Amino acid sequence: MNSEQLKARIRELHPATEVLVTDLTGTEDHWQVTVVSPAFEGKMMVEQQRMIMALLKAEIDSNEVHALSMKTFTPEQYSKFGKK
Amino acid sequence: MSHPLVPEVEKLVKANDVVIYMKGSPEFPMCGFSARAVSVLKAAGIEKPVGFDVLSDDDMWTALEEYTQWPTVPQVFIKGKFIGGCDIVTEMFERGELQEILKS
Repeated sequence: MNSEQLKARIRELHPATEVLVTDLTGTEDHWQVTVVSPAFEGKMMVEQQRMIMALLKAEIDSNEVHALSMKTFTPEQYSKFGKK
Repeated sequence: MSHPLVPEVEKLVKANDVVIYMKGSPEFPMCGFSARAVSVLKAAGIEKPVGFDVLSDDDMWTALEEYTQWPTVPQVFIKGKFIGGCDIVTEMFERGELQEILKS
């Protein structure tokens, strides 16, 4: 899966306002993703990240996505903490 | 069909304010991620979290994974609630959310 496909997968099931993906190793299996979505409102961070993991369950199970580092934000959190 | 030790995990995390399942102990972490989680807790004012070394007990490790459905360690619990692993705890600390939970 390349970065455009990964982005599309995450966008597909989310009303995501921002999706950033970085290939950490150049091998298209270690990813850093940043997702901003109002769907995260009122959820603990661990639940926000579970939502992303659920979207990519097949790829994680098959090891196509071997490592996934996530940062999740509600739009409000992103304006406060997103631009570090 | 749930793992027979799942109730033990639940008991430990509910009986203590802050619990960390990790590799090694809070005093002697055996993995960089575990060490970082311990130091974040310390920065948030938790000097002595209750530690459980998953390397010492495979069965309990399996039960933990079943309980939280989370694939990696360390795993941090506050007031009986699963908070997350190293990255989440670090990010929540940076946003001030961890301190909020500890205060509440």
